[in-house]
Amino acid sequence: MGIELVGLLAITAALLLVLLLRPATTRERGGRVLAFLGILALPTLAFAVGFNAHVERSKKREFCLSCHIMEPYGKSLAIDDDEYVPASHVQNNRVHRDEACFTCHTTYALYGDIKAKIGGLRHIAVNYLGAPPDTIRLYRPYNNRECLHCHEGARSFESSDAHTETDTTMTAIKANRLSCMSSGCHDLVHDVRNIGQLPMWKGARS
Amino acid sequence: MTTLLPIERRIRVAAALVLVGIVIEAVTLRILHPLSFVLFAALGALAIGAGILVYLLALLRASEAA
Repeated sequence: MGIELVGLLAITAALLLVLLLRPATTRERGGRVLAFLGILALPTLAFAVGFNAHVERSKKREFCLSCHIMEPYGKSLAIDDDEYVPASHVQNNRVHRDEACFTCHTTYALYGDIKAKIGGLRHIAVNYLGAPPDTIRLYRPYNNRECLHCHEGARSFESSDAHTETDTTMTAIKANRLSCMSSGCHDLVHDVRNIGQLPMWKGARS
Repeated sequence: MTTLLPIERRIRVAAALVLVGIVIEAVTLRILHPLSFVLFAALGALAIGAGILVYLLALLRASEAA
């Protein structure tokens, strides 16, 4: 929580306390202005700023992993094998470590962040009101767009032998017709079923 | 002790409701968990919204009475 938001909440609470304890102050013009600020203007602003702060915090890896069901997915980021896509991305700082989950699981399209958050509310509903499935699956197949958001144009991606194997391979990847996670390509992802048997990188941050 | 006018009693109720919402906001912003967001968006918004509504109704009633 930023110092600005703390200050805003403190000022709002102070004004509200005055109104709560001395509502008769509103008999004066100054008191009426205080009531407008304390009950209407500042709380509306505080809610908007607080909502934004909550949304920003929900991008944190710690936030995603705070649910017990996500723990193995957090552990999978420490797998000591460069073939595992999420682990190698996090360990080599290809994504911001603190926002690793969000970076790959948001949608890089218009309103993608909002859609990701609505999806998050659905996760909460299933986790607390329903029965979480034994195997967690994505709602839709992973879209190459999310990978291409960073990799498109990168030399390592554009000039890779595998990506230029045939004349149509690159076009198919960019059109999402050939998944990056196709068998034999980048198909090692979280692998939570075998997490107990996989080697872990000792330098991984918990 | 000063006797409160009806509008002042309503303003007190409104201030109490909004204060509850602000406290919920402050507490939930200290906890990094999906449920804290739900609590903020549901209860916090409800309390602040209800407080603002009571305040606006108080103003409306006062203007009608005048």
